[in-house]
Amino acid sequence: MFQVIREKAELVHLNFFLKSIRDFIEKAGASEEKIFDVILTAEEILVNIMSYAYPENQKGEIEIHCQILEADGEKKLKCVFIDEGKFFDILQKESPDLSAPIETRSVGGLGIHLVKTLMDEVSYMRQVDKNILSVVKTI
Amino acid sequence: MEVFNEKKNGITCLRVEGRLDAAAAPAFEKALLSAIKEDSSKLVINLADLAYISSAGLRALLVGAKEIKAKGGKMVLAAANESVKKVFDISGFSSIFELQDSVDDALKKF
Repeated sequence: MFQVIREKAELVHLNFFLKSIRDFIEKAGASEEKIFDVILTAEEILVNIMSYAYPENQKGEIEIHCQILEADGEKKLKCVFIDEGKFFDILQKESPDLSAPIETRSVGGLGIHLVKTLMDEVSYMRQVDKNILSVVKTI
Repeated sequence: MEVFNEKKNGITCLRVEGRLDAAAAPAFEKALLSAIKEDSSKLVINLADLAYISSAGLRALLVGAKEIKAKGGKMVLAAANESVKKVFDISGFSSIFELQDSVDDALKKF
């Protein structure tokens, strides 16, 4: 199974991206729990790309390659997020201090922490003018 | 996402219904801050009908919690489903927020 999802990197298209990914993994037979994890991960990555790879004065698109890999009786979902925005390595963002009390707790950085926790593998590479972020999860 | 301002025993209970994602979070944050402006002493957030939350929703909750705390009040979260609870656990919110299984339990915390 393989599918390419492509749309403008704008928040109004967030639901389109997430619904397309949901349809893909539903067809692959993933449980509701796994679907939740994947959708949450996808939202965090997409919103980060929209905010940081494409700042306000820069428009562009995001392409997602979804693929089901099967080996040794295991089914894995691989999603590759590709944008042509400025260099942005989500993995370099610092995770927040999770034990900080409400008063001093930082409001940023939670998204990437969720992605790293929910996925089995997360990797980034910059290829010429593209940011390429891959995530893999057993479903 | 929709937010309903309901009163129980004179305490404001904000019931949030649907999906609290990046597109919905700004409207939720606005409703939350407006409820705190009305009454900054006691607030229950009823999550029974919340199907999904992302970091944008967590940030809105944190902004509200900071605001009510700065004003000397208290905010209690109630009735989150298993998926939402998992997001709270991963993000450390379970230890910094007061989470109750039901709205009735949350009301007893004041």
